[in-house]
Amino acid sequence: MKTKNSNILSLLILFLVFTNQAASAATDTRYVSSINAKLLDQPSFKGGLIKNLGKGTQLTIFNKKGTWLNVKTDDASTGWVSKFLTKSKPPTNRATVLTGEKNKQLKNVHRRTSAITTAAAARGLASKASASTSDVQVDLKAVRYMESFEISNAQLNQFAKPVQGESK
Amino acid sequence: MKKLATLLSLSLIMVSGHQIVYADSKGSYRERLNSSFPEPSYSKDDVEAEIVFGRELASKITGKFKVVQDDKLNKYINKVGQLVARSSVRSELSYRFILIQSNDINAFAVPGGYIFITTAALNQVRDESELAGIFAHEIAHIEKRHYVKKVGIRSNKANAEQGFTALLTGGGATAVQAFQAAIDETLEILFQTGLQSHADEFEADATGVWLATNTGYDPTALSRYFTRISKLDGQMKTLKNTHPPLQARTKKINQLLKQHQLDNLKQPTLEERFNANK
Repeated sequence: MKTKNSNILSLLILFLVFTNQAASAATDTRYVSSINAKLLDQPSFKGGLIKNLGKGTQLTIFNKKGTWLNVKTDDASTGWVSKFLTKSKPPTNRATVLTGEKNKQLKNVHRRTSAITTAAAARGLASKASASTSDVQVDLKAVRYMESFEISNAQLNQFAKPVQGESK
Repeated sequence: MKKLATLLSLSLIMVSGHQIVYADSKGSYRERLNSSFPEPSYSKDDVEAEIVFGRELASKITGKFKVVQDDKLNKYINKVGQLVARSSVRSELSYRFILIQSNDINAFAVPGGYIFITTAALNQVRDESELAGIFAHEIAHIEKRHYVKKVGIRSNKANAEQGFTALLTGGGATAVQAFQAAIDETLEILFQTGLQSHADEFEADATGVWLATNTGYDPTALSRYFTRISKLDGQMKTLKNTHPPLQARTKKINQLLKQHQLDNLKQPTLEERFNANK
């Protein structure tokens, strides 16, 4: 009876410790927020590539060395990733104000009204107004030119090869 | 049985104790981890608002400076910049880069992902990694929301009524006036006063070095570029008025490179490709 009780107790302690640690570890989570994150086999830029990490990949951290995080991915791969490529919150999708309405302007946003927030915003910012730059010309055509240089993923992947030590 | 109950109680206390200790260490660990990454919540509306603001500001900058209409060069510049931007944690933004005509050595970023480099600055660049280093510094300003925070166009959720989204969704003439005031203030920061906080510039330098290094470029590139242009005092009036001294910035970058042994990391400079596209 005594032995049986001891066994039960041991199992119970093991279970509690295990579940406690598992729960704690699960909270040490970060997310890949960059499009260019690599899982390496050592905490160094000289480390070998284990795999590329997709944006949004959930990472469980179990160690840290300098600016490197020792992580486990959701598909159970383990390795090191630069902490500068991760955030504590999941990344959001690409945002745009141009989709559908190529030249969506401020007036469209203004249609949603709220007198209270308007007044608060004015209190917060109008007092800082300066006339020194208000007369600067606006050139939206040049901005559209700036926005016209769309580089496809395939083009950028090709362009990246020599940067990442691969031949063209 | 009584002994079993006592042991069980003790074991529960031990486990609870472990949890308390762990929670404390986790807190400090998380604090350390996040100390260089304050990550307040920003909604999709906040990001869209930032882009609208940045686009308006960009239109003023292109009104002030002539955009260089060189498709080949601007496409190359965008490839370099967008490649670096792939390593940015603010991947929700579309980053855009353009060359503007000016004899003043300068580069600057505005909220929403719009980044400018002057012809005088580009003339001093010797290889692709230096161009990437400059863009990485500018992307870092956007990543850290330095201008957004400085102008106060985005406040914490706790003070959301004074936030930027509230400003943009406010409507009416008052909101337009406040919006214009924010634009004016940001232009003043960019071309007259600077961010005032040297810490912001040093942070952008350090973050930029990591961004460029993670992309695959030579980590020493920005330091090399700063060392070169620091001898050209007469050609960087705006930079001198709005940024900490280049010597101090170079010193801090070199310390970072040494501390993390990045100065020995042999990553590409791509001088040849830069010269072929310049």
